[in-house]
Amino acid sequence: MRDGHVNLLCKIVAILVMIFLVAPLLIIIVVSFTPTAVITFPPQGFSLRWYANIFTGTGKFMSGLVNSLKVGVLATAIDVFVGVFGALSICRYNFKGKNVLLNYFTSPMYVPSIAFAFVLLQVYSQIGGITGMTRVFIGHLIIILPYIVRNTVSVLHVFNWTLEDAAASLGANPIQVFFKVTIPLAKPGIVSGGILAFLYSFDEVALSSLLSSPRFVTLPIRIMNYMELTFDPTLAAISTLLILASLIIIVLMDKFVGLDMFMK
Amino acid sequence: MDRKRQAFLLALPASLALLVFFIIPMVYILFKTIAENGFSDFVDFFTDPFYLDILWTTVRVSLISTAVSLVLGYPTAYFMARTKSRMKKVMIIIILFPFLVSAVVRSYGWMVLLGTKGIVNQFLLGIGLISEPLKMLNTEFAVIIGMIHLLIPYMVLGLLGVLQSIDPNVEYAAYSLGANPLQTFAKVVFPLSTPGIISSCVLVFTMSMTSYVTPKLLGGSKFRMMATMVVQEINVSFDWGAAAAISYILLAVILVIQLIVTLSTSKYMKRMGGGKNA
Amino acid sequence: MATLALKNITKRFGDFTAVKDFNLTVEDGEMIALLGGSGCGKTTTLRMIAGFTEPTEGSIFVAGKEMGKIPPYKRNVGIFFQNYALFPHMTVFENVAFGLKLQKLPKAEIEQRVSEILNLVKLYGLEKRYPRELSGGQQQRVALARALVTRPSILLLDEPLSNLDAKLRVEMQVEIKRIQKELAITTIIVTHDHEEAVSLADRVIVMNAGQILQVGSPYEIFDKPNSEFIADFMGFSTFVKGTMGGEARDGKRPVTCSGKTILVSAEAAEGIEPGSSVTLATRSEHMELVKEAGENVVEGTMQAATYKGHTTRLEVAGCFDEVIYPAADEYIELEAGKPLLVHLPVDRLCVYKNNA
Repeated sequence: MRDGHVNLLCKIVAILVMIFLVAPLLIIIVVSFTPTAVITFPPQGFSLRWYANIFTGTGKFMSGLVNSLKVGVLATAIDVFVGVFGALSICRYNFKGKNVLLNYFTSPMYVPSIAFAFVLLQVYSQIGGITGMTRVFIGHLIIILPYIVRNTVSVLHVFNWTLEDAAASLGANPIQVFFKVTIPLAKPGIVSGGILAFLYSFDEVALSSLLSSPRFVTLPIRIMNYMELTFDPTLAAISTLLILASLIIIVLMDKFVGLDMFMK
Repeated sequence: MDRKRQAFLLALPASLALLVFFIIPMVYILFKTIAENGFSDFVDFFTDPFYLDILWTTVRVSLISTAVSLVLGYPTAYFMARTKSRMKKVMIIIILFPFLVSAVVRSYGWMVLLGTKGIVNQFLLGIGLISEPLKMLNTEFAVIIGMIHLLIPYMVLGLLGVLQSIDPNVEYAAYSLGANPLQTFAKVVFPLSTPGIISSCVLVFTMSMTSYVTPKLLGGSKFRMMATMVVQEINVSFDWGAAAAISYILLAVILVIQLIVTLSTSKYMKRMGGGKNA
Repeated sequence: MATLALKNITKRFGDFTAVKDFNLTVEDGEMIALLGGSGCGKTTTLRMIAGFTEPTEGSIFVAGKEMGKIPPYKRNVGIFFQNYALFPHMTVFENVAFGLKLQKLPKAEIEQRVSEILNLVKLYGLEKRYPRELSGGQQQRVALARALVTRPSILLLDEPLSNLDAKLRVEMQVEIKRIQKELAITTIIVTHDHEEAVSLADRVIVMNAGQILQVGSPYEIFDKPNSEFIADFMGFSTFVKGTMGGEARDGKRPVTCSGKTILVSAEAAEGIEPGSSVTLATRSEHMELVKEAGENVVEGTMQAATYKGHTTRLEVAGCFDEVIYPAADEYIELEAGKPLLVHLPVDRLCVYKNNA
């Protein structure tokens, strides 16, 4: 291209932005191997003691991880059904107010999660008897639903519905059509929506911090609580593991569904 | 089973879940707050300089973060939209990557960097540029940095979508008609990308307005934004009325912004066909 | 209004050579077509003339002036894009006036020139419309008007007719030719469609793999392609292998194909030694069905018949090892196995020497 200098400017900004985005994460990874309690850069030596501390220290990170996985998996599993059905009802049929229904299904996205958390907290205290995981779970169930609906709709929106007729004309009954044609074709949207929804739940803080009970605390809240008491490199170690997990997820996503699905 | 019934049954689970666990609680608590205390909590918010200052801080931080994200995100997205090099894939991964990493972890990275004994201060002291450590953490500056870090990926992805949909030939056509790169940008690329700019800015601004983790971890206990204030009212002041007022005012502010932007741009968006080429 | 010269142009993208040692001179006011399949380097050549990309080697001259590193916005080369590339956020008037406004012309002059050019492309009255409110043909005229209004020294047309339906194609073909002659503007057309090339251009350049294969008048290219590859590209349907026979007699030379002797014109077979392996090529419409045996008449049997409206395209086997595809001017019922006599006119056969 002739407009070289403009492109060069954009390229420089782009590279700086990339460095800006990656730098804090790289720093965390490097720092996690420091042998000293006070963080110095570059680290004076190499040690895995902070990784050991994840399991042996006071942070209760493992129980947090288990809780986060429980809530995330359960909420995502239920919402995949609820959300995909909802998306199908919008895309597969013609009726007035389809857009209203879509906006209704995605409405939790427009509400600050802290406001929703406060409302649930009030409701729980009114009703009473809602304890443990249920408190966080209900909140997550609602706030992650829009991601599944939206990603599934984005696939079904460009879906060629005559394929269903084609399958039916070849002798498939409605249930076979649904499971052999509709669902496989909508899969990229369902999978990407599901992954985003799970990650949202897994990383969620605002709701969880208000709704967690002492008996049920999720991992991000455990990390935040630990941070307030002890600011040692255990945090870097657990963060590094989370970064690593994200990296694995992104590689798997690229391989199985393609990254385009996440750029909507 | 007729099709209408099918559609109804498919829509039912989501509709019910949202109604029972979301809409009814949101409305019920609003009415309950008003029923118990009248509008006094809301009036208090708008008459107390303390609260107004928090609202202003929230808006200010959000405006600055959004503006910086746009200024940095636009050239980044433009480069990504137009480059054919392998770098694009790497950049997409870098852009998506922080998406998947918890805001807590990302804020922690900035705490390590910006703290009084943090890496930036160590470095600056080491090369003798400063003699006293700079106070960066627990300031508005740190919150804005952390916020930009959180928001740029959303901004870039939003802009990337619209910039990729602009036909490169349209730019070439402008060149061939005598427009230099700056004129081409100002008269063609920028106007064609405005729908993406507006929607990305609204998204990012809203996220910033409602963010909780970043101001809590990077702003410290004395720095207050709307979301952190809600928690503080509940956990520290035990003032649930105030918490309700802040929650609903925050919600209202966001809905009003969305509404204004949608209404004021719908005509323009329509004419442009959503930024796509005719 | 200018001459255009490309001297020893080579363009490489990494290891890939898109255009190889390309030389071309275009006269003032001439209309040239670059014809070739996708990836032949024609579009890259166009982009180099426009200045969107630089040649790796060689130079481009417009009106004798070397373009070198002159950016596209200072070249005064008008370009028409295959997908029109109209500015979707501007009205027809704003699209067309875009280049004039950049030249900072007085408002009155801009308005006058826009209305002149819109008259020329027969779009008067649509100034306030947006591109998406126009039909494909109208959008195309806007694109043409926009490229012409700045009075460029060179006009580049990228597949100008490809997106139009059959009826509009004919109409636009006439229009483009009329406007080009009226303005006497040096024009390069890039196309993969041989009909588009021969109907519009004064001179056609056939390209493949970044190189020129043949340069000639539309008639030469269409009727006397100089290689089997070009013949195939130009729509020749029937190719028959054979062995070149001896000396010319009455301006004709014999070729033995599948044991049969076919006469070709000595002119077409010039320079081919007797005994060489050759390929005869012709178009469907040049072969005819006859009733009686005679010179260059071969017998075969009907395999298939496809009615195409004004002709019927036949597949005839048994004449040679290869199937031949004559076309008849009437409707012919398919009767598989029916014996047919096909005449291959001597002066309509092209002869290509096969490489060993």
